[in-house]
Amino acid sequence: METSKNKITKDKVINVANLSRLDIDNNSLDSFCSHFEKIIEYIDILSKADTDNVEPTFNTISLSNVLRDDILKESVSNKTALLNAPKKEDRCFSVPKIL
Amino acid sequence: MQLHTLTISEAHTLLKKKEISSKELTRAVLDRISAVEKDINAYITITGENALIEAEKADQAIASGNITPLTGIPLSIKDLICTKNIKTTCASKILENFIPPYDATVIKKLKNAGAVITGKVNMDEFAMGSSTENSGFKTTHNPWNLKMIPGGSSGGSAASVAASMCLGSLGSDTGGSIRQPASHCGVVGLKPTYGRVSRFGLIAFASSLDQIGPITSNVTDCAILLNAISGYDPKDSTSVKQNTVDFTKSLKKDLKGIVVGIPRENNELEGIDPEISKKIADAAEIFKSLGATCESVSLPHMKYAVAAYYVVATSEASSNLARFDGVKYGFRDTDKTDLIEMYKSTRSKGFGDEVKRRILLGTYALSAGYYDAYYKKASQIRTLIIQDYKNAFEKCDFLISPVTPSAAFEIGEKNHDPLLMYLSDIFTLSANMAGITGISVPCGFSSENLPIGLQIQGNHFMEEKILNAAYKFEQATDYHTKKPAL
Repeated sequence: METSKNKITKDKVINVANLSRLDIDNNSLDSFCSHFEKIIEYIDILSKADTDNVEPTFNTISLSNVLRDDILKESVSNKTALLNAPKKEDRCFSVPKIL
Repeated sequence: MQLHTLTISEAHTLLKKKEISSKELTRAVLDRISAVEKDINAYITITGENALIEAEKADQAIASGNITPLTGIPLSIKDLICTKNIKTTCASKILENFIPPYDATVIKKLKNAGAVITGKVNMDEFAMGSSTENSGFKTTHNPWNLKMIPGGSSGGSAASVAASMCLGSLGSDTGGSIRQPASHCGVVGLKPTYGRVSRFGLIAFASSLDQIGPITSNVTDCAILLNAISGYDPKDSTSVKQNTVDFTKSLKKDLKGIVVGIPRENNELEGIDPEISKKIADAAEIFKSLGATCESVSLPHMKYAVAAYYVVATSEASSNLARFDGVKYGFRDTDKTDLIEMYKSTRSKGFGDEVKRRILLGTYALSAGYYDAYYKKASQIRTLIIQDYKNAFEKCDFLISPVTPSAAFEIGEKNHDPLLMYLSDIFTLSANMAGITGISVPCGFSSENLPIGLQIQGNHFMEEKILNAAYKFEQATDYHTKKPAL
């Protein structure tokens, strides 16, 4: 890995924050950048490991798709599903206008 | 008799003989909580009234001859396991008022067994941390020394057991979050094999690593709680079909002929406290005196484990925590009229700094141009870690190692430096990467009278073996009988 590619800049952190739907305010941007840089610098130790021809593992129990018969089962009611909604209207979750 | 200091099995015997009632026992635990909570800060929600109702039901069940090993036993629950009609916050402002409309499968199982829930206990927000300092609400204190951290992320669980504020607890372990606080608080904590216990209703941090497990004051109680929560659950497609095992049955087996593996890397690590190394060497001698032999083994990829773990765990977390968007549940910043701005503001106000840091790190590791260098590479190293364990378990029955590089540190000592905090998980997180089981059992005290834990790791679904080893070790020592002076 090239070091320049992994250099953590404020713009990079702001971009990743945007992708994560987070705002990092100006007061904490410096500390986020410096922690981030230190962590990435440490994580770059991974590049030293020889992983040629090694298959990645994404789960440890050899999972395959788990299917079930398409039979109607009891589920939560509309009322229950909406119990924790911060804003609702009729039988729906309410969100700010998107169009 | 101080009822709150009873173990689960002691209390069960007395309940069965009708020498005590669950109501008396539950009252004693609630009184204890009232007396020491101000010092410990273990509980986020205390469900005293509910607990007494459950206790009464348990007493009725016992009177009619229906008693399980957990009937009428007061337990605390880490606040990321959903409890129907009881607030479940994940110690996060974003879920401060979340009341689950359903029970997690483990809670259903505990209720069916007649257990009494005393409340929901503190943790690092979304289980991200090693000290409970990342809680959005309060910092839990170590009952052995109130200036010290109790460990994390299941710090409230471990502290509540150590301080006799419940008879046992459920925690969760993604990289050591059961074993590490158990070690720091001088209690027993077991991370089951991935797939042993249903994760349905556990609010996810990193789905391929998370497991729910027991934290108790001794190994027998640990086996009792594991019995109650284990088993296949169709609601968790990663749970594994297993034969029903009674974990209390294998505890007393002889250790003659057993081979204990000691990873060479235990002592090669920079920064490990010599006091800890000494206790692990002493533990090896105890196993020898019990008839086992010790063999040196190697886990050569352990040096990459922390880095690989933090890539995998944060990547999964960044995806899992996308659900907290202020729409379906939890906090929403209602001032924002634009959808994207609402998401951003809600999440920025709702999540604490460590959670944000991990979401950022995970998003970065998964983003275009970095995936191969980080997520894929870390997942390949995961394969190598699994291979290391496979090789080791060909030579030995279980592995012994420290749980932590040092005894509990002071509150505030490491929370300014996330990386330093991450490195304290070095001995525990490989088990999660490999999906194997591990237990922490008390193995001594530091010169400052802080508990030290011994980690025993076993291959997939070898809980019986490590519980047997932990029990024999416990019976050969008296550390589990010591209680903090509070």
